[in-house]
Amino acid sequence: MKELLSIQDLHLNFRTFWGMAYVLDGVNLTIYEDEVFGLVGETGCGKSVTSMSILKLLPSNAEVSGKIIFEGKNLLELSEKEMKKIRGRKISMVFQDPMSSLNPLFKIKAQMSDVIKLHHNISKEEALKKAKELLKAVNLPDPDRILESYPHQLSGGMRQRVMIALALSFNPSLLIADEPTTALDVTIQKQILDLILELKEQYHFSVLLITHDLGVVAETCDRVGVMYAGNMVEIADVEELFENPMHPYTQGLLSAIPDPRYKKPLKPLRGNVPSLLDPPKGCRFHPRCDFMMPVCKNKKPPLVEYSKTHYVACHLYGGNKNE
Amino acid sequence: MKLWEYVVYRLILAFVVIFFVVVIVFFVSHVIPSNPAALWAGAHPTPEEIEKAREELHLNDPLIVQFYYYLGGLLHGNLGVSIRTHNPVAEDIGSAFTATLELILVAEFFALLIGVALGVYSAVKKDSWIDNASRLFAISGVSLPAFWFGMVLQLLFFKQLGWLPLSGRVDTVVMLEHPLHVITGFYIFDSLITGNWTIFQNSILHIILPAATLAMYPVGLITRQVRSMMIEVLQENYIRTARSYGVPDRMIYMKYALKNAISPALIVVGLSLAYTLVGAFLVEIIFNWPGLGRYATYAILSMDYPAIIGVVIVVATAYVFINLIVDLLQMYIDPRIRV
Repeated sequence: MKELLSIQDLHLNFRTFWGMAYVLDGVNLTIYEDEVFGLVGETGCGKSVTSMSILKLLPSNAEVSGKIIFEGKNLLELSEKEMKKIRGRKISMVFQDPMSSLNPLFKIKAQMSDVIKLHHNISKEEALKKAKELLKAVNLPDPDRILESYPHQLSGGMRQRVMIALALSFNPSLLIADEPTTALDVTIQKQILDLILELKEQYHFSVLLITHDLGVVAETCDRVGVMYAGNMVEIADVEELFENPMHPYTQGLLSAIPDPRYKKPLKPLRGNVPSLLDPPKGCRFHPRCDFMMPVCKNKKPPLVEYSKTHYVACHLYGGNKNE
Repeated sequence: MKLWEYVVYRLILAFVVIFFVVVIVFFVSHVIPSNPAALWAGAHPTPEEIEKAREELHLNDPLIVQFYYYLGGLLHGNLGVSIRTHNPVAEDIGSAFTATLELILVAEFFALLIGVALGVYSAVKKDSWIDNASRLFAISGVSLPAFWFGMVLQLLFFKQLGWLPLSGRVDTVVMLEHPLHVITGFYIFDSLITGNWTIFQNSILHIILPAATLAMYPVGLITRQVRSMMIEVLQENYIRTARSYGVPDRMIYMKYALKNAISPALIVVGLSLAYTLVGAFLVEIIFNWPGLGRYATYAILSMDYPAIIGVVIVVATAYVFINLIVDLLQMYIDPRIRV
């Protein structure tokens, strides 16, 4: 498998009114060609800002360091002009809320043809033809009518399909889907996820799927990364993660999923997500961990290779428990 | 509801509003103690002349009968005869209104141009020194009184620098030497299409100072509104979408964001247009501009009630129609509020 994108020791801080917020604390992950990588974690754990860092669309109060290697280049060192050639062309994005992600005052045809014209350097008629093809590719019936519509005249599922069509305009090598189904009905969710997988087979891109829904992960992803409070705590193949979760946080997440077959009480994680303005020292999970050891309070566990398909950041598996 | 049904509905509503304005202004101006008959009869009238004038003006009839006469005339487009000038009010107002309209349109055009440009630039370069300067400029615009600002401009550009004329719409001498063929009543426009370059140049020099004074308030208002709307819109998800697809900044600002920001700003533009109509009263006095404001001021001072009612009807109608036009424009821009 060839590496497509590799994030190395990504740190991200936000200067806020209340002080510095340490949002990402050394995130590592690698996405290979032609795979679906799922990024899971609770709200606020840094999933979305990780994806925004890849496209360098962070607000101006962000301080970022580390490396994001894509096609041999460190994206964090590229100029804004060079980034514009990557956004939309090589890395496309589908967002969480299809209701607000399309401009309400422009017809779909204007929004699509503007983007298509931008990169393909073709006439308006050709751009519209291309837009129509793309809408057909995402299984939207009657593309002519869709092109003439304003976003508010379409349903949530249709809008998300339009967003996906837009993302496909340039055969991207990486599609970042940031909670693409969270705002949709369950039946539509399934359709959209199937569509993404179908198009992935057809166009051969990798997918970075960001979600908080472990069911979605189990169904669609090849590999999964679990994030907690700005740290990558575990990365594993999807079957392996569900069968043999190693990090106490992952174990907690999985035991908090309701199973309708057994009416046993759920075991939620105790405590709350820490404030990123003043995160816990050492392992950021230690105040909530049932297996906490003295070392966890002082030393941050690195993400280590447990097996070829399983990485975990926890002192339980590090071997130096007495330090 | 179809668009034309909506417009008809609004027009009927406008008609009702204007009718009640007429009722209120008519009765209020007739209740205020004054002696219009004496004014009508001219200088040093005899008691007989005053009595004759009372007959002519129907002043001996009950108020409700007088109102009946007035409404009858109004339905024929007749606003009565001015007690002060003895001209038909409609005629007086006609020429004064075009003078005011020319002034307002020029002022509002530049207010819109400068306000939108400053507002967008401020929002994009938020918290830069240019943003701070334009905010200071905007707050001065809305808070400095027009009569003070107008006189400062006169002091500077007429007295100190001598670049621009003190007051008036066009120099009388120039007007006598190069008579203007009046078509629309807008001097700048008329002189342009008849090729009368002397008048064209002269009337432009005359309009600069009053228009600048009048524009101060709307410029401030529009700048502030466009700036805050732009800042809000630039944080929207669809702007992030456009960015993530590599759409250039200029296109994001001037096309995607501005169209969203301008729609709420339009309400302010409409209000400021109506406000400038009132602001013109002061400015026209300062710059001796032969417009509606100056006419209304003299009418009020001499209790020339047909003229007062006429001016109020015109201003009220303008208010109502400006609002209607703003609503229709908003519908045109935003498909979500189309009827």
